[in-house]
Amino acid sequence: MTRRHVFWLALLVLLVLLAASLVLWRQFRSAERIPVGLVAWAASGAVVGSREWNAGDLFLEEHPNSRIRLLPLDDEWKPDKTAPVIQGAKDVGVRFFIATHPSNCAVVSLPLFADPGALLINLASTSPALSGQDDFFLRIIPDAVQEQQAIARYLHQLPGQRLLVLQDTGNPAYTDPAFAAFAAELAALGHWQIVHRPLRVTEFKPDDERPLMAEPFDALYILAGSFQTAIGNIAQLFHYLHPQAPILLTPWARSPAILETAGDAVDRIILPSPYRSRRQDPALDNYFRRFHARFGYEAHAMTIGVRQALELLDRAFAQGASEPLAVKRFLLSVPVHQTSLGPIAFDRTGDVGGSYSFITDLKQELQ
Amino acid sequence: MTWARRTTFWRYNLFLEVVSLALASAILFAGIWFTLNRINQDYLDLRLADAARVHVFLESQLDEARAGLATFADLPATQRSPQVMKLFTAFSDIYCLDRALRVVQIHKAVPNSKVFTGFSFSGGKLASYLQSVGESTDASEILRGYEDDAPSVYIGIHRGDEFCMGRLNLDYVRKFLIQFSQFSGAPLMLTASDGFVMLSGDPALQLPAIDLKRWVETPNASRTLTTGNRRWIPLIAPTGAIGARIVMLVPTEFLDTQRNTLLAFGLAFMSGWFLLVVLKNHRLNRLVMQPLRAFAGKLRDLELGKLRTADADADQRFTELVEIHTRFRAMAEAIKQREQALRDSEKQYRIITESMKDVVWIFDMETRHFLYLSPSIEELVGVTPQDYLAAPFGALLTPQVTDQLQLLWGQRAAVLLSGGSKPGQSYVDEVLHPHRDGTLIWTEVVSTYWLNEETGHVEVRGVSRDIRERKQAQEALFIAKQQAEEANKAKSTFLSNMSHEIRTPLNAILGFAQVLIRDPHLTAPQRDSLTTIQRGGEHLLALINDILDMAKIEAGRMSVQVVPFDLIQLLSETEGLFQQRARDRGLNLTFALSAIPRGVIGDAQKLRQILINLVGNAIKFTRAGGIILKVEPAGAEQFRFSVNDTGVGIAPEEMMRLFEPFSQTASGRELQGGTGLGLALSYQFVRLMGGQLSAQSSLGQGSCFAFTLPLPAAAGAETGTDQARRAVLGLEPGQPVCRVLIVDDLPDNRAPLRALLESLNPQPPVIECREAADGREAVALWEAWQPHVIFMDMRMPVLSGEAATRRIKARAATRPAAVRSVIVALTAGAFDENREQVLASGCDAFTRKPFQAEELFGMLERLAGLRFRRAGDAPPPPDVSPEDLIRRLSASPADWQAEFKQAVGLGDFGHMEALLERIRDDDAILHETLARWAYDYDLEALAAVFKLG
Repeated sequence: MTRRHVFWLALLVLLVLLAASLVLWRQFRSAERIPVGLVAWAASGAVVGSREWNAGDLFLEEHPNSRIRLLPLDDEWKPDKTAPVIQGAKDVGVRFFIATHPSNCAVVSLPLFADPGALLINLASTSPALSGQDDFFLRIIPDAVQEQQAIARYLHQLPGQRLLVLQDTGNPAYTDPAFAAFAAELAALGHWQIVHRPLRVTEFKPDDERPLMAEPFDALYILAGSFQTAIGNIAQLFHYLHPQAPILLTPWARSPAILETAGDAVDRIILPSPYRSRRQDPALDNYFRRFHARFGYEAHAMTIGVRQALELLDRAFAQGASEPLAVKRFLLSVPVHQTSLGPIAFDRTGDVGGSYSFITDLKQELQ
Repeated sequence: MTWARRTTFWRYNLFLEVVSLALASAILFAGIWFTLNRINQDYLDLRLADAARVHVFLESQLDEARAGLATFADLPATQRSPQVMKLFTAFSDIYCLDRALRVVQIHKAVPNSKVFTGFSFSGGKLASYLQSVGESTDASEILRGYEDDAPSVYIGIHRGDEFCMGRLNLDYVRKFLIQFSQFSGAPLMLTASDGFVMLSGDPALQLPAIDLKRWVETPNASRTLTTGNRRWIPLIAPTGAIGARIVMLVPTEFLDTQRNTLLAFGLAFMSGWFLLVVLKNHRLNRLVMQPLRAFAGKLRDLELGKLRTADADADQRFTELVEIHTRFRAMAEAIKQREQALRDSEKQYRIITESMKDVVWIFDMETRHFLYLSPSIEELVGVTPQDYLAAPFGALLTPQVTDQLQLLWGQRAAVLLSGGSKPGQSYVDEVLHPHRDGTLIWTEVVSTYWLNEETGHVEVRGVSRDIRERKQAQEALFIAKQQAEEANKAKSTFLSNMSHEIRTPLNAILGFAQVLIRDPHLTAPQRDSLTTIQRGGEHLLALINDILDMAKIEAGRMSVQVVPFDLIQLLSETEGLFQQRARDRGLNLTFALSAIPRGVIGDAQKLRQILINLVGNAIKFTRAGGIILKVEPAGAEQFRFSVNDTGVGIAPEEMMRLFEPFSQTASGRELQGGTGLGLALSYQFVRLMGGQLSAQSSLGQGSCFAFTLPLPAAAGAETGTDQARRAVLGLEPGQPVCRVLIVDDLPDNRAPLRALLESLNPQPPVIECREAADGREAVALWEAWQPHVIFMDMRMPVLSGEAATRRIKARAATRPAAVRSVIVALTAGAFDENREQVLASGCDAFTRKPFQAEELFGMLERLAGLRFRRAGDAPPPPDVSPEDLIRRLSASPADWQAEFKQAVGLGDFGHMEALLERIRDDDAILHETLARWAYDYDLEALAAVFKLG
């Protein structure tokens, strides 16, 4: 055999090895990761003491083989930024989103998910304006109507006649339809007289609100979301003036920061939530403990929804669905999705219904 | 040493360059990496130390605030006016709390504070701090203020029942952080324990939180976070008194620049190096490799014979290449000259090879093909060299020859390969090669075997020669040889038979003569008659012996009997033999011996025969003067014998044929005596004994015969005794009886021997004889009679003497009590080898027929222990001078003289003896002298006397 033969033989062997390596690499390489934009408020942690992105980080750390590649998107929960942020992500090829922003942001971004170009799972926007549409905007929490009706029905069970309702004007997309639904339901149910007081929660001034609150009320309902800590200050003032009166909050106040700010009033706060209390749900309690161990703080309830949304997408991707249409079909085709933090059952338009828990032992929740 | 992989120097050099480049790159970049790591780590440690120093500032702020709050607490309530409160600039808010941590009084508050009188601080981390005030913690963690969600640090202090709490005004801290960040270029941040950024030195940097668990590890330049489109290295200082984590974001630009600079340097360095390598290899290729390739091309041209040595030298850059070039030119010129010489030589060899009749060829054992055949093959076998080379091996040979050659050549090649033979060892074979015309040609093949170093094949190089004529000559020679051998064999057989046939009757004649002559009662005429018979028989026997000796010499069957003997005695006996004759002829016989040993080793019988012959001739051919026999040393254990006479001499033309058998000189023919065998036998005997008989002669002046013999000294020579020379008269009486068995198939042979032995007996007899006619009868008699001595004829019917001897000896060996018979072989055979054969069969002694009585007596005395009676010494021969002899002869009767002279002239010895008897009583001396000459058949002496007379 001449040296030329040896050279060509070596080259052939090299090529065969290269081809085999490519085949093996393609065969055994991890599935291509799919970018998922997590639309949240980057500074929320500094403001409300919890970050949704951390929930995403925890999920990926606990699911290293997941096909999800998380892409943090900060719309600062400002409606004017939400659509550009999402559109920018879509422009770079992101077709799946999870959003934690409030309803006023969701409403403006809704057109972006009218077609199969992108799919969004929302876990914090309860505006009824988002409900009942056969689009690619899915929502894993009940809408505000269901929420408020549940709260009204709960309140109806409480003694008293005069109810002070403080409606946050900072997020009218949520609070307006919510108050309407609440008021209608409560009116339908009977005995409570509502004193409606709109205010911007972030601009709460005790001296301004004290005269009204000093009036005789049997209960307070703070219709505000977005985990604003001032909710705790408001609750304290009311509790200071009416030590025995119950204080109802929305599910979007299930935040340790709010409860800590509430001081003694925490004993009178009633917290509605689509999720059960930590005491009642060991899985939820375990999740919060893991979260605290990893990031050093107590997370707010929105992290539960983030986790559930990620699990749904991961499951869809694992089933081979990698297009928004396929993912939607998969998610809607399964009657009930059992996530690690509770079941989710979509209706045909991608909305969910559900029951509410009313948590009263909030000191336990804070531990 | 051989390299498994061979490459070009240029490639190998390039490989080394690339390897060194890669190695240097690795070392350089490892060094850069190490340096960068070290620099980065030092830099980051420095920046981390800077961050940690912020705590000093914060603690000083905290100390001031604590002192201020203490001052406030010490103020009476009446003095805590708003104006006074403004002085406590360290605090934005000051409260008095009850034990339930509820605000009792607000002394100072930020505008739009959400805290109000009655507000409870009982929740969260602040409550934990407030409950521990006064124990160990100096301030709360940094947290979102209850008043306005702004980052806040609270300090509490107890004064009596009063519990005061102030919220630090962190504006100064924020400004410090901003200024520090701007000054250092590394944004400084204060984070809560959960990582949320509370105060940032760079507000424009949108970094709401730091994953403390992730970044708290030892900072590393490779671990960066990206925010604000820049990459940062987070440095997290240890927790200080303020309860906040200080995070410094070190921009990576500096480190990146540093790294990029070093990498750029490294890349530039390596690029430069690479360029240098490329340039160097380019120059190397141009200045060294190309000349070397050109040189290789010239070598190839040289190999192909195309090189023109007259080419001009190339312009070389390096002296080494110039030297190589110059040397190469010289070498090429030398090779050219040698090639020319080689071509000339090859041409000459080719001319020789192609012109010679012999076929030169080379055969490859591996391929089994001829590599070369000279043109003469066509003449030899009728096939052209081209056809022969094209034909497969064996196609032009007979299958038998092909097989034989393959086997033979294969074996020799194997021997060569195994080292059993040296290259070039030649072999000669005769091969029968078929000619194209169908005939077969005998060829002689001289072949040598070589290992071709280049091919590794064994090559047979040979020359084939037509040997048809030689083969024919050989065949003729072979036939002639066979015929000669057959003739020789027939001659030997004839001689043997003749010897036997002559000796057998001679045995009876001489035997009985010896018996009868011993009879003391014989009359003188009877004795003379018997003596004549005996002498005539002995003369006949001597003649036969000479003829047989000559025949044996010619047949190469004459051997030398080397035994120790007494040289001086032998010479003395010889002298004794001739002294009288010499005197009778008036000659002086002198034996001159000088420094010779007595005992020597040699063939005494032949030496005696030579000396008798030479001295006898000298006396015979010398009329006057003398004869001198000289014996003298001639070197180590060699002796020169010379016989000088003053005789008639030999003519020069006769000298050439002097030693030829049956040739006689003119003087010899004149004397009409002798057989012409004497000198021939002497010459051959001397030659057999290792010498050379030479003769010098001058006609009319005399002759000298001389020879030199090797005669090694013997330890002790066997000497004869006087007794041996004395005549045996008979056996001594009184001896034990000795039984003698005579075995011979011929009664005529048995009878004289028996008569001889019995004539020895005294009274009572000692010897008792019996006879057997063949071997079987002898064995039977041995069994029955147990003879002491057996005279065994060897050639007998029924059972030969040899076979009978073997049987007797074999039986005697198995029977210890049996008589150990002495067996004496008697043979009439012609050749000496009979002796060895006979003795090998077990005989104790050997003698020829006709037997010699004295010899037999000696054997009986020596082997059988018989004792003999011997006569006294015989009276010395009469010392008579030629003149006295002539006078005595003249005194004898004239008719007697005439009759005797006539008898001498006729050589009629019988008549001579009869005539001599007539004068025995008248002149005993004359009788004795003439009788001895007649007895010796010395006609010359006899004739000389009458010529003188």
